[in-house]
Amino acid sequence: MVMDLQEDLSHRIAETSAKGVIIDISALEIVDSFVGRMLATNASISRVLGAETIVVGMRPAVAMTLVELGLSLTGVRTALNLERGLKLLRRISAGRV
Amino acid sequence: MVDEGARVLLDRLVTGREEFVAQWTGRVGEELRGRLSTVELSRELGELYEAVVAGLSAGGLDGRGESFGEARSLLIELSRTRARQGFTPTETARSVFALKEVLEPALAADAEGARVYLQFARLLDDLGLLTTEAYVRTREEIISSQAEQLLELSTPVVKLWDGVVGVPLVGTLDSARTQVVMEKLLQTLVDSDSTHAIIDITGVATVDTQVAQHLLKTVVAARMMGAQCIISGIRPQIAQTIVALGIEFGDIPTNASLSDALRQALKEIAANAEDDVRGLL
Repeated sequence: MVMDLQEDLSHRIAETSAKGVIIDISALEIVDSFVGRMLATNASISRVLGAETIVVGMRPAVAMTLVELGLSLTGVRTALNLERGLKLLRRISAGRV
Repeated sequence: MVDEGARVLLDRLVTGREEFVAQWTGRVGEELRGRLSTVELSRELGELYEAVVAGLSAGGLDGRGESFGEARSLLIELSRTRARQGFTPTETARSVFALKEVLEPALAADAEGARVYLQFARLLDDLGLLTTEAYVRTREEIISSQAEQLLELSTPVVKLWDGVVGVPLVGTLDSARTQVVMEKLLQTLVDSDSTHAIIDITGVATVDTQVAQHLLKTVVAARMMGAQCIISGIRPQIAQTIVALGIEFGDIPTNASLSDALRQALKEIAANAEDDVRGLL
């Protein structure tokens, strides 16, 4: 599933020449190091293709698990919810951040 | 399977019941010097006496046996209440041992009685030890529940402004507390839809690498949720320690005072709001 996501995402960004990607993980309750790495990898792939990735809606428990696992998702932008994520994306494309 | 000795003891305990309980109550009452009413004491010890007699008649002189289950639970209960009332464990154990002193003149007069008395004394020693153990356990329960309350009380997360929450930390920061602080902070960020968090460490006595590590964890977790963290309240000597220890706070903004941190947070929020108004976003 993760490999599919990576595949689909990269193709779609290339096809639509998207400038932003938002990954909403508000329904994600359990994470492991693999998911953490997946998020970072996706962000890197998107950046190479010229799109900024924003992870939104991370739950407190998920954030705490990732910290305990020693993952800090450096290079991945985050926002509290989808609305704030979209705003951040527009701010980035306006060159304000 | 009641053996000969236990039967002899049982006979004497049953016949001398009234007298023994009265003497026992008297001795214990003396020891506790009126901190417990005689009526209450007499009831407690009477019950205990009955339970011991019942245990003897059912299973002999083995204080650790099943037949003494009731006597043991009575003693544990007694020890718990005494612990809460502020009696020392010695006083509680002496209450049990006092029965030995009461029985000594009555039993130890003849050879057979003396032998039984020694066995019974061993049994009472076991029961006395049990009260001490129960006392310690009760105290530990009290301590751990207080520690829990303290933990809850000592980690408030307050809303300072629309979009800004503050965490005033007081005391020491260990991993258990970091966990509680982190949990509370992250949940408050979600609940209040805040983009900025200020962690104020004015009340933290010392910052060593361990504490810094915990702070960093909290900041990283808040960041991953999409909130900015500012650490404020760094006193001059703490700043010196941080540098001397080579602790790197990286790109986490730090401030000397809470007001500076709040100003910085509000400035960022204002800049974002301005962009909103301008239709940039």
